[in-house]
Amino acid sequence: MDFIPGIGATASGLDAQRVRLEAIAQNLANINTTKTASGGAYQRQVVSFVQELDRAGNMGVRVDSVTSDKSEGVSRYEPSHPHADEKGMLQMPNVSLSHEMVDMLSASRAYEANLSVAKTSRSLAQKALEIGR
Amino acid sequence: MIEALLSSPNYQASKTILDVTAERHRVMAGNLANVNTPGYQRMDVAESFKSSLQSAIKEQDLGALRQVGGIQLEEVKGLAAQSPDGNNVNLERELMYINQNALEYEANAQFVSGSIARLKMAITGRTS
Repeated sequence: MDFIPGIGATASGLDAQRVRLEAIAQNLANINTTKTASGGAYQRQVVSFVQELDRAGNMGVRVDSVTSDKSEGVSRYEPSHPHADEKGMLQMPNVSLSHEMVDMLSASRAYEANLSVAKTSRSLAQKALEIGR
Repeated sequence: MIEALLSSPNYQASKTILDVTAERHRVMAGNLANVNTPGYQRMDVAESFKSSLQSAIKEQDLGALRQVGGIQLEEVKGLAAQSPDGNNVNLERELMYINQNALEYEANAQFVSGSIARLKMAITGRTS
């Protein structure tokens, strides 16, 4: 039993959403990266969550994996580009700006919600301490 | 003597509700943490537990109140899925429930505080 009720779950939620935001930031930063260390265009990173019961009995969340989205991005004809293939086609990353922006909104909203619960949890603990004052 | 003073049904009910609301807060914090977890089903205090607690409070029955026992939780079924992955936690609704529950907790904490303060007043004869 935590001293502050539910803080374990809230902390795990904040952590998971932050990892998600980092992946989105990375995707957006690489929206035009046509060559990576592994060769080929950048592949967007996808964060997946699983629920996890911690030792204090809180139903928290954990980042299960960060994987690459294997789907193909658009390829466009750009023969003068140094990363274009012999036919002059340039493979673009599979990052979609609108998709990432929507994901970012959802992640930051979830982050803020968890943060506001952390404040509520704190005030509950405070109220418990004030019993009998 | 003091045992008798502190075992009024209302005081005991308030104490139990403090436990339940604290547990409920913990569970709902978990729901909100899992707002983006695929397939997660929101957890809450079991309906059967709620109704047995409610009837114990209504009857002002100390024995029944003590027999209600441990807080039971259950997955809430029959809610509309909020995303294609089957997760049924609605962010806004969950936040609303959490705030409502926190208010309930505060009200009960205040009642318990008040009971103790009245007892103190009776013992010392002073109002503070």
